[in-house]
Amino acid sequence: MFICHKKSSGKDFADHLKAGLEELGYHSFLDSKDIPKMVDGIEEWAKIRDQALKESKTFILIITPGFDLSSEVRNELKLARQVSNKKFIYFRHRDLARKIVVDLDYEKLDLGRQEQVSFETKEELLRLAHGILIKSGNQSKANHDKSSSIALTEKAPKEELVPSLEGTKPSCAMCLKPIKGQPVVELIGEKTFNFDSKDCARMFKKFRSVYGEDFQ
Amino acid sequence: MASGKTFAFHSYKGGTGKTTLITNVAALYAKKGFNVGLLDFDLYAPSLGAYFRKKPSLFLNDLLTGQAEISDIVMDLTSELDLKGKFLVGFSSARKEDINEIELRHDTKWQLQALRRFLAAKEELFQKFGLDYLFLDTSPGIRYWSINILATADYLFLLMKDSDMDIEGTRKMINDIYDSLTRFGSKYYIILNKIPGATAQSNNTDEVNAVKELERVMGAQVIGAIPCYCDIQFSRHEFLFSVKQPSHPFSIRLASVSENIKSII
Repeated sequence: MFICHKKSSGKDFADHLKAGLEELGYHSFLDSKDIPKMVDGIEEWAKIRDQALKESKTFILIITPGFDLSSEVRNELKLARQVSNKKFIYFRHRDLARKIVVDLDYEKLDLGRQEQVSFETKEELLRLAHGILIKSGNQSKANHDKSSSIALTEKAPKEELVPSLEGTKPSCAMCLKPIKGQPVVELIGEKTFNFDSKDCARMFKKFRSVYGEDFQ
Repeated sequence: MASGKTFAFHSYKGGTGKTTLITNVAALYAKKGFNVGLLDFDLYAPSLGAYFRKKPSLFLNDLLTGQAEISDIVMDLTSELDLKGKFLVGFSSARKEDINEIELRHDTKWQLQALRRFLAAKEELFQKFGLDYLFLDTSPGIRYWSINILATADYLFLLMKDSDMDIEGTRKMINDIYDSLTRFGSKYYIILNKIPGATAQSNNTDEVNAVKELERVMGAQVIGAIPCYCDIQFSRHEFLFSVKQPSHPFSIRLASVSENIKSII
């Protein structure tokens, strides 16, 4: 899923939606979270974003005040509509009128004619999104029956590393392996992390020092 | 986590001689009997394949995408090069599609999975293959996978030429990246390469002064200084001079650099 939003008015909603969906086991792409901070220049940044957009099966537009004035939002919406086989979900903040026409250069997109879901709070947005995904026959990866198909969520690669679920044993925040002995516990930022060894903790802190909280 | 030592060779700009130096130093260590691994993590412009004239069927790219194990990727060149210690080399793919695959086609979550695959492979190289040293070649500048490699290494060797552009960029890179990593145990050193007009002796006044000045400006130790040798610089295919032609002045200088590196470990 690709989440499109206007930064000044929709960032909180987008961040909450992304985090909530991830927790529920759905993978989504949000530029501010998924594009490495160290990427070289705006062109590289746009390349990564466009690639993710093209590969996504679902395009979520969060309609908040002034969203149609953002050239980034318009570009993303335009590209998404040019790529076939994409499902669109329009979440509109209740403060805004249903009928909004967006100028996409080659077409005037009348969102009033599109199916919209209105929301007020970020919690409601997440709840509604989750409901739509379930109704569409989607289950999160955590509850996913292997025989069912995924229509909206991206497929996880076979070798995807997942946190250990063996009993109550915590897994190492760095290597993700189950912690065998006594965990090395470190308070990093405002969070406590468990590690398999001091080396893992040191490595984790190195990555945190260059990538910030995006590294986890 | 690994018990051997990992070295990353990096530079701000391309053309500093990074690949020539890392291959030669790695081979020198293997010649002395150490078990050595050399991985081409210059994923954006790989060159070890051409350097060793190898066309492998599996690449480090396949490791990152989860399609191959490190044991299937590395080639054992020990006997071919007649070295005492093990010499394992991992290549990366120069195909445009493979380079784009790593750089553009995946989001942060995937990149983190790829990074963890690399860390697991690194551990396997030390434990299963008994490596003493792992040498990692990187892409110049501040690129995503260069930073990853730098963060996973114990010792970082920053190659540069004695030019204003290199000095300025390298200093910025030290502030932006290297200093962060040293807070968590990494150590970094400068190798000054392609010094113009230098002689075979490392104690000539011009060179000593250039090194001193660079150390002052950069605030970092210069662990090696290598003159520019035209026959190396313009050779169509320099190939492991340090091993094949040990009496060449370039090889003598490299032997000295590798000794200096040994002394700081």
